[in-house]
Amino acid sequence: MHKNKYTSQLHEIINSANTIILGKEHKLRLALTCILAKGHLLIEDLPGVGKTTLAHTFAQLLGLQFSRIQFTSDMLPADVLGISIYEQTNSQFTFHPGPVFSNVLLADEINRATPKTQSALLEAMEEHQVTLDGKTRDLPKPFFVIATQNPSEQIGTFPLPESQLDRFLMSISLGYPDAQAERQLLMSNDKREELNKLVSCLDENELNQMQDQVQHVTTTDDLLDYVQALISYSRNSGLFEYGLSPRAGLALLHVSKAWAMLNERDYVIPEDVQAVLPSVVRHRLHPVDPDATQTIDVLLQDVAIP
Amino acid sequence: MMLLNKLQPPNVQPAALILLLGLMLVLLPHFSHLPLWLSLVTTSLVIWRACYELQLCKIPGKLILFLFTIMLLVGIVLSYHTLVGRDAGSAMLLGLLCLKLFEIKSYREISIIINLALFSIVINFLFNQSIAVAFTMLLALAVLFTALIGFQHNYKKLSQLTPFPIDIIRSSEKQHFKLAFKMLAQAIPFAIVLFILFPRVDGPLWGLPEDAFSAETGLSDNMSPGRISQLSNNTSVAFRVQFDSAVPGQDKLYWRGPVMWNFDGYSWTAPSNERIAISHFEFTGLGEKTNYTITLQPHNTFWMFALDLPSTLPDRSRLSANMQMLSLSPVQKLKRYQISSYTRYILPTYSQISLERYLELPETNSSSPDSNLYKSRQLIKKLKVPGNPQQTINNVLNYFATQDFYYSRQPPLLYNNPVDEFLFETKRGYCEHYASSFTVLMRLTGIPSRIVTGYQGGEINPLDNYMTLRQSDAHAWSEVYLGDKGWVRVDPTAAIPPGNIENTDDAIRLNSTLKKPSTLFKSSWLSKQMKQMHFAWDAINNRWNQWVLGYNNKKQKAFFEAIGIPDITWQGLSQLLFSLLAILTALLALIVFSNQSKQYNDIQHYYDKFLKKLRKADLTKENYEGAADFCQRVILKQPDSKSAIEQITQLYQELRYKKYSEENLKCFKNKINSF
Repeated sequence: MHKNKYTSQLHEIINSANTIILGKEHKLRLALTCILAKGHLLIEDLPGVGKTTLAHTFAQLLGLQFSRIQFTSDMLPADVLGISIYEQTNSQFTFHPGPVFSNVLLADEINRATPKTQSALLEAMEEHQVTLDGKTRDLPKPFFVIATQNPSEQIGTFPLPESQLDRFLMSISLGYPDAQAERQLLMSNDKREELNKLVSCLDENELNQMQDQVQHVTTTDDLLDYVQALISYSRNSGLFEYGLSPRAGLALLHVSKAWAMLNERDYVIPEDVQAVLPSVVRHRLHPVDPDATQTIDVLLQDVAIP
Repeated sequence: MMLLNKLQPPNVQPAALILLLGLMLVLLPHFSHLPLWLSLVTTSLVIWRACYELQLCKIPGKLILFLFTIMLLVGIVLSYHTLVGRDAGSAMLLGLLCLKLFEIKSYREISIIINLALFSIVINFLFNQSIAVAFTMLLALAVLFTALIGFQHNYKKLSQLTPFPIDIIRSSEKQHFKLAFKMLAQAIPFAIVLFILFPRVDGPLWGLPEDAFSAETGLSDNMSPGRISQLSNNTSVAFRVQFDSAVPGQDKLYWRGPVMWNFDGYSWTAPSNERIAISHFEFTGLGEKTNYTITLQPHNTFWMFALDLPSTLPDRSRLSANMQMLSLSPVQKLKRYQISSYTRYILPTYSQISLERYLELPETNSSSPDSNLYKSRQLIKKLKVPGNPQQTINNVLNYFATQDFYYSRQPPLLYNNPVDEFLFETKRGYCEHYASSFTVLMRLTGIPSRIVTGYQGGEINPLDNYMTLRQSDAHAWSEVYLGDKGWVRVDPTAAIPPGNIENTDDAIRLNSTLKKPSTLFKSSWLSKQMKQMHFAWDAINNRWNQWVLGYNNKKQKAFFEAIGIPDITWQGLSQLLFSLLAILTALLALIVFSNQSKQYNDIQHYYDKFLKKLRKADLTKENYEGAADFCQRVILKQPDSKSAIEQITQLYQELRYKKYSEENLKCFKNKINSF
């Protein structure tokens, strides 16, 4: 593993992101982990807490092309994927790619779109390609979606079904900044301007290499025992309506590896699993008791590290 | 395997080749008894299948296979004249097993083939129970298990029987072999316990077919010229002797076997009514009694061998009227008996009536020169000393010694009148020629005489100090009845002058009566070493016979007496057997379990020590808490020992979650002990 090379770059990314989004280092790290693990990120939060800024920041820092879709209830799949338009100059249909043809796509308020449009995007996320007019077009690589979702109690939302939530590797919520960060934010200049000044620390190739490197992080039998214990507890404890699926288990392990790599280790320790578990399972597990807010913490505390 | 069938996993080719190798190993010892054509057919079928696996050729269709099967059965019937019994049955099984190779479609056929191959391993022991076969079969077992594991691994992956690919089923062929070998090694203690403790039954346990016992006949119950000399190059062991008292001189080592007295002009026989045993025999032994134990190789006939002449009889044996020791049932498996003999003796005298048959000769017209024995009759007129049989014998022996007789392994063929032809024309013969013509000459002079066959001499193994008698030691001599002295042994072969012995080995054997075995081989260093190795190998074989093949009811009892449990019943034996098996299982489980968790236990044991030390400072690690998190918490409270705690935590993490190494474990232990 090119430890020094990657760690310094990852360090730089986190540090730079920290100057834009204040007081949220842990969330930034989780978001970066999700990118390293080649997964899509779901941010569930209220408007105005910096979701868009976060997506934009990473696109800038990773040297990736960024585009954004603001979902509304009257949006159609063509608005996301693109459309073929008849050009009079050469009497041919020309494909105009939609915003989905980019490296980092910010899908804002995804739960305000109709299920038809949602599934068009989610299809593209899964397949990494778009089929229109009988022609299949590959999406650029890396392709990474940050979707934001308003709390579903709000008016005019179409909540994503479980099967589609499963397409997101991780989900986080940013939450309000703490008092100190808030003060700093209020005192600072326009963050948008600072954002545009950011210098990218990586290029596409390096990111691809890093993503491939994640697979080579070591996991021992002892660690797999722990992961299996967590999964089986989620299934048998009765705390959740359904347990974690095998896909969720694989996701948990892969994200843990990415987290370990981000923390300059080439092996996974239980703390890595613990650190990423809430964001991996939050959108996949439904507590039996909907009022209990800390159910995932209970899961972590009930399972002993073997 | 080629992808003819979609159920076929693509990467079972190595396992299939290993299966074919295992099958070849199983077939190998069978070749010694299969007809040549069947050996060739089975081998080529296996090679054919191997070529198919390597995608070099196609396999036959169903119709051709059917034809092959018919041809195989016809061939077996033609070779054996039957389809049942040990020989034909096993030949048919092996042939069909090799044909089955072309019917592999799914895992089911593979498991059938492997099961049949395992059965064929057992069949091998019906033919041959030597060490070499036993070890080849052990290897075959390991190879077949390797193939089985390989197939199971691939088919399991195919059917998704294991949802989580746990590393129990290893993937490379080398690992499969290791696993198979490990499993066999784990089975060995069980095999030993079962071998020692399983109640033994006297006689064969199952109703095996008549021909189920392999045996080297060696001597036979009739003797014609050329009969014994054909054994002269046969080095297979007839029996082994362990002397409990001093070894008699080489000239006393006459091992008495079948006795023959009926002569038809060509061959000597012992008519079967001769088997009638005498109930009572007495003789006067002279000199030292010799005590010894004989381990007799199976030969499928009744006779047993003893040093001339046995004074006691082992169990389940009797003595014929000719002083030949006979077993009550054919010797079909290794037989071991204790016996004592006098090498010098005087037999009681018989009444004249019972001696008549020892004077019978084929009826011929004695006056015609063309008749049988005409020349012999002429000769005996010159040699006979009336009223002095001893002098007559000496004259005859002297005739052999002076008239240019040769001792030869390849004597010329004799036809209608073998005694005359030998005495006056060819003059070259093996022991049976001398014994036969001597006995005939004795009968012509009116001295009752008979032929005794058996073995002469024997080779002392200096490593283990026992004597081996081989088929090449087969010998024939005469016994003459001398009135008051009773039956007296005369060995006419010994009268041949040393210079007239064609083969040097024979010269050594026949004239070594005074020499010690160690001085016999003055040849090169290499041949000395060869001899040593030969002795060592024979000694190992002897042990194998004594302790493995010869482990019977009696030996089992003796074993338990030796370890202080006399009179063990079969109930006690089975109780002991099952409790020992239970203990072994528990032990094995313990070893396997502790091996699996040893690394973990070691690390965890020391880490627990570390935690205990911290608990004194009121810092307790929660069950769900990771070592690193705990470390952070501890450092907050105990900033002084920060570096030590961090180092310990780092080592703990690396040992458990990165890579286990003894070095790190040592370091880890030291750090914790000094914490």
